[in-house]
Amino acid sequence: MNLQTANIVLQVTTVLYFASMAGYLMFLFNQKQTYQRIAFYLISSAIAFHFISMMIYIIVSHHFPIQNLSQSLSIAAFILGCVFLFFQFKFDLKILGVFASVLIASIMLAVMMIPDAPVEKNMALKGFWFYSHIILVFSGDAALALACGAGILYLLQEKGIKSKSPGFFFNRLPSIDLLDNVGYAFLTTGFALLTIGLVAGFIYAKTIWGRFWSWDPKEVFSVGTWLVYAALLHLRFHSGWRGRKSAIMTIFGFLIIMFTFLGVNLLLGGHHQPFTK
Amino acid sequence: MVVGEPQILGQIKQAYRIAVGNKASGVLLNRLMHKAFSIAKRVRKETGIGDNAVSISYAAVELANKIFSDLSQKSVMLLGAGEMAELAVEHLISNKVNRIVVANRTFKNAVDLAQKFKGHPVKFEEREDVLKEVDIIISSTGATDYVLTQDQVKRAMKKRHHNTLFFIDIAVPRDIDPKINTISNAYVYDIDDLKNIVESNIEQRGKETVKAERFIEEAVLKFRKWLESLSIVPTIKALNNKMMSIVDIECKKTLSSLKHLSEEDVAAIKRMTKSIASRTIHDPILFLRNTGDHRDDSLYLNVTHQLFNIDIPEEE
Repeated sequence: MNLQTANIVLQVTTVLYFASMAGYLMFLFNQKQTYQRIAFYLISSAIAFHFISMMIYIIVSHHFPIQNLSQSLSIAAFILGCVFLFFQFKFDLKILGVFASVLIASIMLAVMMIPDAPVEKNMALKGFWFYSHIILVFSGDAALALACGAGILYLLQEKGIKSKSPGFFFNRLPSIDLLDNVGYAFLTTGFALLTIGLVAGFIYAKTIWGRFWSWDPKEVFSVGTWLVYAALLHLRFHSGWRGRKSAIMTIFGFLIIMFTFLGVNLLLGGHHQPFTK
Repeated sequence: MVVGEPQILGQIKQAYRIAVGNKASGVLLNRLMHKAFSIAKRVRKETGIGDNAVSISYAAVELANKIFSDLSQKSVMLLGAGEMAELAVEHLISNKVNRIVVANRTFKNAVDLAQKFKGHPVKFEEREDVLKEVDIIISSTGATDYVLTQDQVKRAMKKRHHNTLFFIDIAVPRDIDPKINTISNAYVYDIDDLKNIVESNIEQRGKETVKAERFIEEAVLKFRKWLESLSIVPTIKALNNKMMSIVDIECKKTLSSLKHLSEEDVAAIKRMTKSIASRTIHDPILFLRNTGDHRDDSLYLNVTHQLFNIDIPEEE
């Protein structure tokens, strides 16, 4: 076993993700349950292959595959897949697979396109707090990405109902009530994970650099993102920001996450930068 | 009647069940009905003919199902006690809503209607307060002015923490201010909106009908072929062929081991076996030619087919 094997398995994984996306898109247009089932098996097996690929990488190189941009994105796609599977069992909202599979497939495309930057072994990137920070923040972001997906579906269905012209999506999407509830569940889960993940990050920073907070751009933007979601949840509880407004806010919040995840590293630098070169 | 309504199939199925129960259906009808049911199933499965609502009250229920995830948790308020309201509510009740509240200007009518639907009557003036606790409002009063205004609903929305409200306005002139539709999480459909949806659904259904008709034609052709095979002449022919082929096979088997026989002997044996065969089926054929049942020979023909295991080859 060597890194080449891990790479080949990752390529197989990407093909499976794309096949799953095709299955979900066919399900969207044809509404045949068979397509949905096949797509679901494909995405499940893709996630299994993804896991195997990462395990091979860890066994061969003795470090976590989060050293450069390509690896970070790959982890993000993997965790997004896992979170999607988990919620699929919980909510049975099959049509969300269209959003999840398209998002994962595009991330994997980026993973394949980005040249693998040489990995410098950074001894600081290990330990309980580091792994907790990575896994929690990525899972939180994944849940919030799915919240954005539910938000988009909500807006599509709501628009048809409000404008009194039920169209393409009317029969294909579930009730707006359900979409709102699912979005809310994603939102609270994602927010909770993000909160614990950020705390783990602060503790990790303390153990490595001796201080909790160092005005790193990513830190600033992460806390900014956190505040946006905190405000959204507060407005939902106290000012009845449910439905459309909440859906628009979740989409907006996810755009900020994307910027925090990619934009900050690419444009602003800071101590998170090496993972995203 | 509207093409593709599921109730009609249900009614036919029920009628057939009664016929079978009273032993009033024969071979022909049994086969015909079974084929018809399986075609109906295929049409439902492979065309979009049953996808959309084509009646107003069903369209309203379908909309309610796309707004609320679980109607059994939701409550309905009836404004006015008109006949249309009753119709709409009947569909909602068959979807089992949680609670029904009836408000009417004449309180006695509200009480009567509430009793009918096991609901709760309220005074007409209480309608704004009730908005706090119901989710679907069906309005059909004879009022000339709006009975619910934008301001009233805005106030109620705050009290219900902006949980979704669905207004179905089947009154002419309108009962519900159309501006309410601009309030977020409030949806107003009046009778014309519902009619539009139904019309476009019917149009859609028309396209799917072409496909369904093809399935039906196919099935009719097949059935007709079967029916033709069930007439006397092909049955007798098939019976004869079957016997002759048995004779041929058996003669070949036996005669091949009897080499000492002369040609005349062989011919005589063949003649004899053939006449045994035709005599065996002579009486059954005579019976089939005159069953004494002038109405329907299909039963006897079908039994013959089964007894002798004969298949009349379908011309493809």
